[in-house]
Amino acid sequence: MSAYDRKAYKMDLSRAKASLAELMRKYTVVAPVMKDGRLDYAEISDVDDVVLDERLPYKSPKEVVFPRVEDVMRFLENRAEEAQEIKPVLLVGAKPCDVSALRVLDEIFIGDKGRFKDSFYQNRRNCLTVVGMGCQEAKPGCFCEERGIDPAFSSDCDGFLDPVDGGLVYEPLTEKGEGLFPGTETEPVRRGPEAGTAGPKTETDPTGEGGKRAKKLEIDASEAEVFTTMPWEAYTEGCIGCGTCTYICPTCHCFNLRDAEEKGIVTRTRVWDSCMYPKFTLHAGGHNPRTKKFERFRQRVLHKYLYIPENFGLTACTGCGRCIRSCPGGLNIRNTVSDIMKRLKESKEPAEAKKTEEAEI
Amino acid sequence: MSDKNPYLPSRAVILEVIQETRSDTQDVKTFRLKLDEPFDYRPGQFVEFSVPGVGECTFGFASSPLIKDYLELTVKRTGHVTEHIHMLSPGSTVWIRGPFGNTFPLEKMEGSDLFYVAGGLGLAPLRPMIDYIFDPANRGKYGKINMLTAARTPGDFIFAYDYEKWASMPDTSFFQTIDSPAEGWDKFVGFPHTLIDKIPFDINNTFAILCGPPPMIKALSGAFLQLGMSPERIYTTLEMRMTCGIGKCGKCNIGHRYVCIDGPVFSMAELSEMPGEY
Repeated sequence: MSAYDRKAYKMDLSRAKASLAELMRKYTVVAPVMKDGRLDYAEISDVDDVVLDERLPYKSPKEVVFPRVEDVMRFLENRAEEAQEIKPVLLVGAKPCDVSALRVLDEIFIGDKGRFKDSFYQNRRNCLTVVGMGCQEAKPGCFCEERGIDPAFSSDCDGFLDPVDGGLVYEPLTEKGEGLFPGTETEPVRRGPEAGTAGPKTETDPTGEGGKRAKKLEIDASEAEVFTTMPWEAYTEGCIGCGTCTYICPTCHCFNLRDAEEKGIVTRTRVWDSCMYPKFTLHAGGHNPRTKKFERFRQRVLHKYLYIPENFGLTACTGCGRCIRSCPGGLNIRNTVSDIMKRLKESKEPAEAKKTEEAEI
Repeated sequence: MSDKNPYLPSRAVILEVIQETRSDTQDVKTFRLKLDEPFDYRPGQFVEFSVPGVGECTFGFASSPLIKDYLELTVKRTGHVTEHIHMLSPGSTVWIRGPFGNTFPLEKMEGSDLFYVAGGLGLAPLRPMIDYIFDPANRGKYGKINMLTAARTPGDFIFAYDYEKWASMPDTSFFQTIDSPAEGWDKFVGFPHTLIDKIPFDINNTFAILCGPPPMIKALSGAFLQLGMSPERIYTTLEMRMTCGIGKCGKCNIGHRYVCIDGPVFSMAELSEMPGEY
């Protein structure tokens, strides 16, 4: 819980929407809306479109800090100038898994462990205000709690909205979040185990280790221990190389720089790229370090569960389950990591048993 | 940590274009550039080279950092961007971002002999180090120098105009090899890893510095290791597809290490602890 003074404000839904309408004059507001029959984060033009409930939207909101295409710079005759257009964005109704994904992107692009700061990400992050909401919907494939994320609450927001009888309670969590949703001062909503509102139960755990108290899904091993010893080809069997998993992922952030010419002016844009495509790593000289699909899926899994933890100190998977639900080939990062954990445990057990035996002797 | 916008390149003008290869394809040229805002760099580092509207490519510096009036980049015509670069002529404006990456550990190598082995275009990223160490102010800090440069055919050697100068440097042996026999060729024939045992060097007091296509680096480092050289004394600079140069775009990693910021220079001791995905 943040050290911020716990104050909260209660309002009915119409007052919340009136506040949102007011906020739309100052911010571009991104919030869950129903679009083509499904709930998705989108820039809103009408407050009545906003769905303030505790369901998980289809895609992640990462585009507020990392758009699929954004202008980076323009070439002028004698100099290059910055070309990024930034406006203040208010993200409302962000679910805790998606908020935790922002933390991952923060570390990678602007964190202290990185040797360079990405000023483009920084600019967007500075202009972003995040108002979170809890999630009561465990979709098939969701496993946020196994990733240590509380679906009911995230303190990494500027403010948090809780649905209560007769409306909503807004609790500012940072100075930035102060005053966004005015209302009658009230007691902050009690959360977590103390209140008995620990959030939804996750999908039945296939390993039978139990939902809430399941062992945290993470890989505690060296690269050598998992790189060639795990059945990567079997994990990747259904992959058709479409890259959907990377586009829909809240933490995937690989990109390319592309030039576009319009009316004689060349603008360089940053566009999303995907490690699941064979040309992603193709050298100019023709050599390619990752020619096979299993090598590319291994990169995706280990980048999230080994390389980013090593470089930035946190695992880059939120358990949102989007890649699992969207994969046409049935690839499942949760089951893959769970299987790796099982195999690592099995391979260590005999050694440990032997150690104990030796100690006893 | 730098807060400067890492994606903004600065302008440069092409002073001279040098045709390197004389084989049928003539596919390697060196571009001599003058930067509007010159910067310092160290042997081993690289830049991103832009042609507006076409794109950006990664190249290691190919000239000595002691030269302050210009810098050189050696470019093989092999794809979309390099095709366009090859069409540029003196006076053309280009754009440069950098310098990026780590450097050869020159201080650590002081007092030792050096053995450079380069395959084809792989000689280009070694040239800043070669010329830096041949500078009279630095030459005395290093022992004997062996150089073996390899090319497909006699017409495919780059920097051929430097060879006489390099071969005549004090305490230096210079060798050339081609892939298969050619008329009038009286030097080595064969891949470099089959030749290093024909060149006398002190295995315990030499640093090997290798650059070339990944299969060559793998075979060559294997050959040095087999002769008993310590993996800590074998250095290479790796090629990898990359976009940003600052460890963000997610392309050039080998395990958790990024060629753009942790490399491109790695010792075999470091590489042996990384997955073999390069």
